[in-house]
Amino acid sequence: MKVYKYFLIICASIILAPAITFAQDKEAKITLNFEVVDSQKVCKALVVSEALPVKELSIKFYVKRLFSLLPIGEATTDENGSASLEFPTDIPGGETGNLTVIAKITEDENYMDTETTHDIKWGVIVKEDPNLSHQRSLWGSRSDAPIYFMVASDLIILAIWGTLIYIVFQVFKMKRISSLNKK
Amino acid sequence: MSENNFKNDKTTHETFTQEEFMIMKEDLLRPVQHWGFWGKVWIAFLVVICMLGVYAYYIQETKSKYVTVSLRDYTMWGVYISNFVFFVALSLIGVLMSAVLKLTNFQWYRPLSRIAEIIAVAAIMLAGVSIVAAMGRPERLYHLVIHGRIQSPIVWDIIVILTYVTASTILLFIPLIPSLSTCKNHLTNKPKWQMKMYEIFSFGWEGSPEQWKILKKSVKILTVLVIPLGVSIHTVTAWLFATTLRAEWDSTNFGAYFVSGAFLLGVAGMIVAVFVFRKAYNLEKYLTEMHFDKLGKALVLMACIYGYFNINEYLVPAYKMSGLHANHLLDLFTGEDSHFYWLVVVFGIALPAILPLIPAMRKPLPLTILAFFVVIAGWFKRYLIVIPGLAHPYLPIQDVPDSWRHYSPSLIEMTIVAATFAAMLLIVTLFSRFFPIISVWEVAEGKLEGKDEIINYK
Amino acid sequence: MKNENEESSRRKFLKFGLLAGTATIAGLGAKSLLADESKDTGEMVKVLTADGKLVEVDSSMINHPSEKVLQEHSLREGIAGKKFIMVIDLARCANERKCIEGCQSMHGLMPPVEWLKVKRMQDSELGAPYWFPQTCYHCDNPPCTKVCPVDATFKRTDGIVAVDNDRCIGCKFCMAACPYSARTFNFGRPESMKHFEDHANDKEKDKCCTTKPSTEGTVSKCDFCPDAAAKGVLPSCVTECPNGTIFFGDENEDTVTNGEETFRLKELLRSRAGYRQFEELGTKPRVYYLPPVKRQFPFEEATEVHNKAE
Repeated sequence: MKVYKYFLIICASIILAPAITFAQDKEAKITLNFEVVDSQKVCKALVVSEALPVKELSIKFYVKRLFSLLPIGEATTDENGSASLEFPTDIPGGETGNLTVIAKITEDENYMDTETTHDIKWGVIVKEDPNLSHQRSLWGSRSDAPIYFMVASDLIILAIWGTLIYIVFQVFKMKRISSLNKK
Repeated sequence: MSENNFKNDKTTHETFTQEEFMIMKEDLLRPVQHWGFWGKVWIAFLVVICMLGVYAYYIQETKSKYVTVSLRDYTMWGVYISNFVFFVALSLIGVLMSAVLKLTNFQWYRPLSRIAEIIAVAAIMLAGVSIVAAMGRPERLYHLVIHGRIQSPIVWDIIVILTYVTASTILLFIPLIPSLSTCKNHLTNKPKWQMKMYEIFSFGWEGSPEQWKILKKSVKILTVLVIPLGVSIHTVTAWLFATTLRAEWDSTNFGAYFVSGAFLLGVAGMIVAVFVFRKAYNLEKYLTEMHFDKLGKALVLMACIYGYFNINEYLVPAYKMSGLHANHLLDLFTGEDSHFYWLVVVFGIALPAILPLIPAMRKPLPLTILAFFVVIAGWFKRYLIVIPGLAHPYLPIQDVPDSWRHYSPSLIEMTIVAATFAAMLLIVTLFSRFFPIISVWEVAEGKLEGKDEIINYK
Repeated sequence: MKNENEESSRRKFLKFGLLAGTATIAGLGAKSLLADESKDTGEMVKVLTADGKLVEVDSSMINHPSEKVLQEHSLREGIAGKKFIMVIDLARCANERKCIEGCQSMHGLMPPVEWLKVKRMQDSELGAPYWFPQTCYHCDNPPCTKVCPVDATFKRTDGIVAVDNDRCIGCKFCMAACPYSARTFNFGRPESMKHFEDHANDKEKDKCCTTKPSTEGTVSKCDFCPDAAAKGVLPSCVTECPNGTIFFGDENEDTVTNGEETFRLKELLRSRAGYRQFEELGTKPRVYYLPPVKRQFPFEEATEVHNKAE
């Protein structure tokens, strides 16, 4: 019995040796799946290592943003190697609603850092803000002046300059009168 | 020939007799005919100061403005802008003297209207020059035309100033036409180009009834037009400040406050100008003590109105003493700028509101001395509106060199400001040396119509 | 904090070798997915991948998409689909002035000119003093662009208030109109002009802005480093801050980051009671502040005087 136990330990150590020595170098592969369950959006990361599902592994989920990755949550894999995250419904995804979701294994004891990227159109579609795109306003550019403003100022300018031009014509009329008198 | 015409058409349009016309012509053409030694010295003196200003501007534009001008990021507007406001204010006199008085049938405006108009035109021109001097890139001035934004108060200001210059120039020029004809017919020993100028600009004036009719109609339209224009130039200038969010300028009172200040400054400027013309050109017969009496009373009225707006502008916020206003107001009342502030209150508002109530103070000399102080105080008043207003932004000024906190104009800036004054005086002087400074026919017309106010004064 | 940074960057470096290869391929793959967005130019170019292979790809693939956007955007239009926003956490500012220095070296500015200022604020006598970093607020109702007579300062579609130094006439009205005194004027100070010249061709710096603060007689100010932002590079004030005080991001993405931490913008502002300076002025700034509560550092008065030299 003792011998048997001893043998087992030796065997186990031989088998586990590489695992212990290169603990962090165990490769795992994440596959991202997106499902809608009961109108709830769920992001599932299936983690497989050496053709076996990986249990109790923490997966961090991110959404790619312009300057950095926005963390949206963390989930732990179950016995099927699947970590599911209730996907937030309010993440803006630009004009197309497209989001780049990234699932990451980081700083795990057994598995190497890895990540998987997947695009999904689960983002909230963001329309361009009409307030900033050529809306007619007082702070807008020259061509975006409010209509009432342009009409009012043009009318005032026309009225006053019209009068001034009329008066200049009158002065020339005086001259014409004088030359008529001379004739 | 023209005189004959008036006589024949007495029933229609001619309004004064040949004798009176001739007498006045003698008196009024004299300064044009003979410049005199001191007249020439005065012009030379003004030209020299203008040249100094041009040289100072050359230095300012060719050297670094950090060295030549004491403006910094916080006080980014300095004496150029306050000088601009001053000149815009001064130009309002044209409206008061030649339009408001005329339309309200105050006959004593008649000999004053042309003086007021030329001061207005000259002042508004120099206001433009002051603005250009303040610009960082004056060579890009044309951007205002090709990129101008109608939403910007600066564009409004430029439009309204250009309009006012044009309207004032026409208003100055049209009543000048008969005088030009007189000059053409009666001036002697003048260079050919000058006579040619009279010839061209008298527009074939013969004094025919139709011509008088057109002339008077045009003047009437312009007189009405120039009132809203004049009010606008100064209101829009006030808006340059009031449309910003700075606490000390953020006032609904600003337009009226500026316009009333401009009227006060205008009357004071007018008193000084009338006094100088009266003495220099021996025009005592036309610019009479009555005018000083009237102008003195006008000064009281304007100072009271201005005082009223000042109370609204300063004492109402001071009563509340909100955090936004406190720094600025305390700086004016008791702080760094308090000596300026109280001198301006005394000389620019209190004394002109009180002293001319004494009849003796409405005599030419004392009134002119007072008016002179009002003009000086008026300049500092604009300085006090612009500069301390900038020194107290909402967020505290920190981590800057001392020169960034405290503005005091550099020698270059003061030279240019002095030159704008000289240039304004030069324009007025030269005008009075080429054209009769009093509108001959307007005075004669008044006399003939029996407007005794012009002659019978006490 | 600092050790952690070093640690993580070393870690990143170690990972890089392994990841680079896959990332490049994945990246190229992702781009081909976006093929409808980037049109092939038909021009093939050779590129060296991170694992040392020389491959030939279409030239349209090399450009980072945002870099392509950058080429297309003009100074006036702004970067399509973006609305840049800044959040400044007053609880983290210790007046180390690294943001100012980073900004000054990025834009070739010389003290005392600062586009970014750190002010000592104290709201009331009994209230606690705090350090207050202040940039241009790129307001959504900008009082400065309202008054500009020549459209030289304008609001772009990405929220940035920019200055066109080739058009500015130097009237300084925008400076008078700005209630935050965020603008500076180039008075042509000889030392500063020389400084601009000396640093005109600094290659190591990312080209961060299309504005030209070196133009004498014109106005300039904090410009949110739009060209760097278009490339996904954070402004230097954000990256230089050792305490991660300044967060920058895209409001359309509802995200702000200081390079280390990334937050949902709305959540951050809600949970930390974010506010804008002088909300009552109605300028609608694009810079939010998080109140200086639960501070990371006790307040210390500045020990040295800055910018005293004339």
